[in-house]
Amino acid sequence: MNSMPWHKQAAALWKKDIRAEMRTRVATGSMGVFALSALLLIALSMLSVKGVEYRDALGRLKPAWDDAGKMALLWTLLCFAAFTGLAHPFVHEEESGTSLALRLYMSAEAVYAGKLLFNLTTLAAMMLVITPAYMLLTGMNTGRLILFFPIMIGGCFGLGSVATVVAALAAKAKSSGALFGAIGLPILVVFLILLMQAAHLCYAGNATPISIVKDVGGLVSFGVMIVALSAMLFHFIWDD
Amino acid sequence: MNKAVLIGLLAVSVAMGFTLWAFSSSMTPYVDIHQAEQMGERVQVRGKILHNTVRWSDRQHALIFMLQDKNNDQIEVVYHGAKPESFDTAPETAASGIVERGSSGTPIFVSDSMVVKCPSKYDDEKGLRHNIHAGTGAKV
Repeated sequence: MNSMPWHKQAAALWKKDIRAEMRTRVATGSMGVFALSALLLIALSMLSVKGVEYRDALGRLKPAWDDAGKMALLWTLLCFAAFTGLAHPFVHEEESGTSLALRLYMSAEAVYAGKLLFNLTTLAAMMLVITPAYMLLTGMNTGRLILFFPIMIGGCFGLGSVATVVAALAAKAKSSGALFGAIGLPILVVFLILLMQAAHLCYAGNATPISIVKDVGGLVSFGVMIVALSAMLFHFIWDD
Repeated sequence: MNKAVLIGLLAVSVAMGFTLWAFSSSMTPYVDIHQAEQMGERVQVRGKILHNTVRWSDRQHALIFMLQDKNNDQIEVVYHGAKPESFDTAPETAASGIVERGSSGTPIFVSDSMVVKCPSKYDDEKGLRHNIHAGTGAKV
């Protein structure tokens, strides 16, 4: 076993994964192709509802596709894109047989931290490209900026943490792609409910400070809970 | 116990409590009409459908009717969505939505989800329920 402290081992694994990704571009390629084709599809389908309004129950004119709806679609896109590419770091180690070397030279905690860091970096990079492009295409507003950024960062953290632990579980199976979705969906549903609840706050005019703390805090704490649980239990997945 | 495990358990407990607290607001509680008016958030209201008040509004694209709860309070429900199949014969419904104020300040329950209760569907002409298990068709 390596005598380096775990955080240095994790940083070394993160650098190795970044270098490997820059060389092969498997994860970013699959996520990028999915996200760009989905963006194109949304842009084309947007034409039919652009500027369309409807009257609500009280006779007020409202846009057929409001900002909260656009935000929901953005996160749907990001979730599917994330699940397309974020299993790769673990699946690649298992397929190429390098997971054995990692088990010998690194602690389970360091492997988990390194892979989580890599997935968060990839997801953040994808979000930085996709979100502005989506906002340009659909005309989505950020709403309250003071809430928009914490929600996007909290969402990225939660999605990355769920995808990492599910990828570690699924990589052990032969048909890891199908298993990745099947295991990930139940955890993802809870995450998406919390995320949508928090995202609505950006556009809600009557959000109270307590509801902001509750919903944004709930979203961030979900990510913290998954990371803490994964870090504690990861060696059961990794060492078996 | 290992210090790292202790910190981990503490972080999990705090985060789980916070997550459950946040998750609880995604649930829609059952309340009466008076409480629904006071709360001003998404709730479910159960009550009798006053069938003589049911109408369709072309302008609002909504089904409008009066709902009466167990305390005999009444509220106008504006329901957006497909009309449930057995709505016309259903005695009661549970509608999910939020109370908003109309232009005259009257409370309106704006709903987008509704479940109708229709026990009469399983009764015969004499009001007896059929037990249809095991294909016996025996009445209970």
